Amino acid sequence: MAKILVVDDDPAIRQLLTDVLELDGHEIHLAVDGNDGLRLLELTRPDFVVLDVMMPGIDGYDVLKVIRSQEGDPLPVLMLTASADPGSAARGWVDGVDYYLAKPFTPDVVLDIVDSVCGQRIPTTDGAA
Amino acid sequence: MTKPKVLFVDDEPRILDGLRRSLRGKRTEWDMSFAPGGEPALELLAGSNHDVIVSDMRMPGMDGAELLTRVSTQYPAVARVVLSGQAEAEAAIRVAICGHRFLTKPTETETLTAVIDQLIVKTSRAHGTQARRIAGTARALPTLPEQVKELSAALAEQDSDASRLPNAVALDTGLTAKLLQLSNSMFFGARPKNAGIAAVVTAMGVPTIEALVAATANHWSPTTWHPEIEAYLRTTWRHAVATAALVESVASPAHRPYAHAAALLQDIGALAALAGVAGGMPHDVDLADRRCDGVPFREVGVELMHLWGLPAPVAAAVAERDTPHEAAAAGLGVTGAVRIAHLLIQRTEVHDPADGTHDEELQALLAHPQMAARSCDWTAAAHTASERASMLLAV
Repeated sequence: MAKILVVDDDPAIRQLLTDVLELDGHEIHLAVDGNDGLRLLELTRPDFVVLDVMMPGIDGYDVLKVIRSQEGDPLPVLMLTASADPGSAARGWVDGVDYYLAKPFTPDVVLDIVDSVCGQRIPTTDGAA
Repeated sequence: MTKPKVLFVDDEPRILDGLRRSLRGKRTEWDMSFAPGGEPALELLAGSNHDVIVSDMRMPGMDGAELLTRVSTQYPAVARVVLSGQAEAEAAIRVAICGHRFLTKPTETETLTAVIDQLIVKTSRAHGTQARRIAGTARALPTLPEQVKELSAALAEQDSDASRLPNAVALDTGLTAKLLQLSNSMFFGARPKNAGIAAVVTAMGVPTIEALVAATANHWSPTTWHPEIEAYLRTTWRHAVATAALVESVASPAHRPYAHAAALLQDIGALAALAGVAGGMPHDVDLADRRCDGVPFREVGVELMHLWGLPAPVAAAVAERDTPHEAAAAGLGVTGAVRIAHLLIQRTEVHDPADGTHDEELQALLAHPQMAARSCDWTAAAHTASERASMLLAV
């Protein structure tokens, strides 16, 4: 199961993601802002990061910049945004997020993304050539 | 329904007793048998159809590598698991060619049962056992003579130019697949997370790669190919290399390593089926219809990736390559990126009959924010990737 770091200043989002991801057997670490996120990034070495864009102090883009400057194979990042602002989404894609999701979102979408990246799903083929 | 049959082979009675005891809980699910060596194991396999064999490596008389090699030719539908203590490098390479999964002793019961339970599942809904039988005959995939040459040169120059080896490996379908298979196992060194092929090359070390190249080269014999098959392999390889180059810019950063691997392995089923042909297996290959014994190449390939335990995102992207893709708003993932790169490269290949039939789908995919945000001329990028691939191998 995956080790997931959630970086979001909104306690409701942290709680929601903890509930659904822990139920699926994942190990969750919570950061309350960008600074805390950078600290836990070093400390926990996660497999997957959920990152809020708008945070006081160091924002999501800044944290992403640090993640993308790290050595080795790049870490999968799902960015969360408060509004469906196309400009913000475009910046996220250019800066190198792997997934971009506007709030409010269905927790199942996050579960599905984490499972497709970190899971052991066995593929199937149905005989269509 | 009959229970899946699992056969355990070890020359030490105490190990077999230990397995029998720790797996008691699976008696209702599996039909288990235990053999004290290679000969009795083959007798049991001759007696009834098995699903999985789990064998030790070091045994007096017939060792694990010899047993599993025989199983691969006589009973290719049986999935082959190696369960062994630390092995010498030479023996490890021999078993790396014929085994599907590798576990080190001692292994936790949950790990062993999870691997066996996975291997009992067959990926093809329409041709389960047939697809497994064809995939199971493949021990290594064919490599073109040019690639063998480039790999040998890169290995020789390892000291003066360290970047040449990962680059050469990243163009070689067979070796990439083998390294991803082995990197999933502690047996061949620690496993890097979400590893691209460059990281795997570093983690495994040059001597292992060298030995693998030498061992797999024996499976490639260009003189035995029918000209049509060789032409097909070259076209397939060119498409794979072009798609792999393009998908590096299509996929998001974390998805690049797996997207590259999936693009390179997209026609692994054709390679597996044709590896069988070169080895003299009596398969009925239809290149035009892309089938082997009536089984689509794609199903053979996905079954082989499953047997080899390749990363799930890679296998999923290969399984879905020909399926029209509806991109999720949150991102394209590995599968979406590979599909886009495949379609873009396909449009640069005028001879492909499927060319031009997916215009609407491709337009929709290119309009996805992940693609649109980066103002890139994707058609031009596809042509560049395509031309470079042609130059690497004059097709």
